[in-house]
Amino acid sequence: MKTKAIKFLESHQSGEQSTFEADAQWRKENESWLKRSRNVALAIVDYMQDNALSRNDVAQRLNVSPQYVSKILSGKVNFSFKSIAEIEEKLGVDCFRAAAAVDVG
Amino acid sequence: MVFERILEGKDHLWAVRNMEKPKNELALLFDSWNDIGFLMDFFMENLDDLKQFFHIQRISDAIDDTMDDAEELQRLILDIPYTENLDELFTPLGSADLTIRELTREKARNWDRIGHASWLRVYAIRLEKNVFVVTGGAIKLTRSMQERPHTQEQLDKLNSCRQYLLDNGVFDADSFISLIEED
Repeated sequence: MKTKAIKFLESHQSGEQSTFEADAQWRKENESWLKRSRNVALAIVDYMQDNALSRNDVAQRLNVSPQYVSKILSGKVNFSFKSIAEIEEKLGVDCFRAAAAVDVG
Repeated sequence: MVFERILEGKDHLWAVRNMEKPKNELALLFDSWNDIGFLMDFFMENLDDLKQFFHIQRISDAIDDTMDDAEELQRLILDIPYTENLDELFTPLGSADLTIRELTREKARNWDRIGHASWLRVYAIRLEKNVFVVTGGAIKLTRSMQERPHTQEQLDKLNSCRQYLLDNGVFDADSFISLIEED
């Protein structure tokens, strides 16, 4: 027997399915590489804080758009060796060391 | 105002959905708590609070703590036994919500966080026993919600949702009586 509150909610639904559970599932399934991407992004955050740099400053140093920097900072980038090499060479951030600092298991 | 059921087949957890945004309030909240760029901007803007109230100097440490804590809070929301008994996860927001029984404003947090206290909050209206509607959430670094615009905004959303539910007669004298009887 549904209560008045449940009946009200059911009659005022958006018509779309919540993504919360699927989002959580995606994060869980991709946990291993996301953790490495997160550690690279956090190393860049450290670099930005230490040098008082904005996204635009980092974009200029990497010769990329600020939007690309935002993407790197999302923590959801499957980095290529090319982009890792550019970050290491132009920012001096050790991406491999950062990415490797992950508890496995 | 429209709502989304969070778990298919379960009646107890819902979230407000603003159709001008891509997802409901709960899904958006956890997206933001998993977005390092968003968290970096937030902690840069609130660095003084972070240092003063939590003695944390490094933004990357705050981001790391937030993401770990969000993962734990997500687990609490999705996993049994909390999924089956949200009254154990949510607690009344403040003293005003302890004196009323209907449509109380509530908060959920990870109470068992090791190290500093958790600063993550999920805010919801409790419609009846074990039925909640999430209105949003926040990274709360200060003592009261009124102290900062981003937490005040969440308080406004709670009040707005509660008023909407009251205006639409979701709670009435009959359900109040049945709620007492359940206890």
